[in-house]
Amino acid sequence: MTTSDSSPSGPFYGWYVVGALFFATFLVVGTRQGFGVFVETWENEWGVSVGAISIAASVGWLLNGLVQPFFGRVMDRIGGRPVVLVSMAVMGVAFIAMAFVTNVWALTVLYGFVISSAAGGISPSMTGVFVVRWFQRKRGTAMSLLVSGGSVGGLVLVPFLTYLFVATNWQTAWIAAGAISLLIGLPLLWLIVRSDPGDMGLHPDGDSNDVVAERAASGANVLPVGPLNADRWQTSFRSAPIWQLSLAYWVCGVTTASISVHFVRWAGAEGISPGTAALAFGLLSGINAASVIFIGSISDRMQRKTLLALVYLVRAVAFVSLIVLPGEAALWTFAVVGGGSWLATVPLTNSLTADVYGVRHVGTLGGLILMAHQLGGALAVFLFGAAFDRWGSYDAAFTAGAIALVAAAVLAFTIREKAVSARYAVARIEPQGEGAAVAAGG
Amino acid sequence: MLGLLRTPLHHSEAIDPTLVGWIRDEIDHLLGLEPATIAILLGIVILAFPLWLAFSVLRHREAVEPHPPADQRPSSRFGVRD
Repeated sequence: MTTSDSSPSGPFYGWYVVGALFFATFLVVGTRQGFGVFVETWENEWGVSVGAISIAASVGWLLNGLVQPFFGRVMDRIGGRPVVLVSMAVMGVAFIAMAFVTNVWALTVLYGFVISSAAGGISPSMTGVFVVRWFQRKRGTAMSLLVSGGSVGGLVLVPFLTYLFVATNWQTAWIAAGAISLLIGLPLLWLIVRSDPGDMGLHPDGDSNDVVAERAASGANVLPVGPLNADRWQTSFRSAPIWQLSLAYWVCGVTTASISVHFVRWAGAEGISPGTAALAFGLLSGINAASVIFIGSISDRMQRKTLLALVYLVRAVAFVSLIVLPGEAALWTFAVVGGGSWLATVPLTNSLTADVYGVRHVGTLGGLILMAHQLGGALAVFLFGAAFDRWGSYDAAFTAGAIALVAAAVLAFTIREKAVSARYAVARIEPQGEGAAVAAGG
Repeated sequence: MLGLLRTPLHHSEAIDPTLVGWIRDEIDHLLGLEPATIAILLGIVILAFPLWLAFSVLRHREAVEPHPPADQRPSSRFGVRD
């Protein structure tokens, strides 16, 4: 199959789109993670408790999940470009406005509501909408590169904000984040990102006009279409895969959020210092950046549901290690094994959703699935804490997490991918005309 | 509530202050530079990628834009084609 992935004029334009969205993800995730850098200073300056400040973080977490279906719907209707441009502009202005916040209520409004809502427009599920429109055969690779922007943001932007804060003050750090967003991020998105390859007269994966014409002449569609490709997004919920993906992703939210919140506390209960626990979590973060790219790229060569099931199983093993291994052995085993599975669910779930249901409603469906993830995470944070308070140990909670992960692996593995995914669909003749190309994108 | 400020590094929740402190200590130990210097160096790293990307895209567009044949190019002001 001929593509223009690497022609004399350079790589396929879709890779530039991925690059620009990678940087947007880098900025959004990195800056939002940077929130934690300033907590202690705000606590001292404003005379409030960490608990009060964390209201802004928790409101933001929930709201970020709740706005996903809304942004997804807008993306499906008008295209992704306006959504990411407006989101980046709002976030850039709001980052600068953070420098003028003087109390926890303004922080809650600005960070919890404005920034977290706007960040919803540049979440992996939303930027993934671009990827599924620009790529079909290399969807997993492109999606994983995009998602890794968040990991790199945490590794580079957070230290940048920290050192700027130390060298100047916290206000300057937020102004710098806003300036980078408005002066670099926004123009970059405006210059490069287009909602659909058709906007530039291109085809997904960089297929040449000759290849597309040849395929059309042979009676096949421009791109294969799966049997569950629906006209209305609501129809998708009458089929099993959307429930399997949502429930599995809910478990993903449960197990990542609970660990992230309770890991250091668990370490303390095991007699491990917070610094060592933080180091282990840092190792986990570094491993997940590498593993997500590796898993995403091999997902284009094999069934994604198999990899997704494997990722959940590996994470289940990591949870079991927390129960059966002693102290530091459990800590480091979890960091290495869990790190391999931490972020890989994101590109696999997003790609599989698009493979099964097509690209027409992928924003809405991806948004709903991510909302399930976020709500699961919020609930788990509470329940794991309650379990620890009741039994003085996380063993029961970790056992529940491991069982849930095995269930998620079964849910993912039982998706009949070869029957429902466009990747395995037999080429069929679709009606030509407006909408046909969109329907073909699945 | 305190727990919500720990870092999942999964979707974009706030980073753990303990982890930030550890990263900072490690960087200080390795480089031994002033905070402002490190911030400037990291700033350069952060800006390098988008600038390189924008430059590459502009070059890409220039390369794929169709160039009209010589006999269709506009005449110079002396009435002689380039």
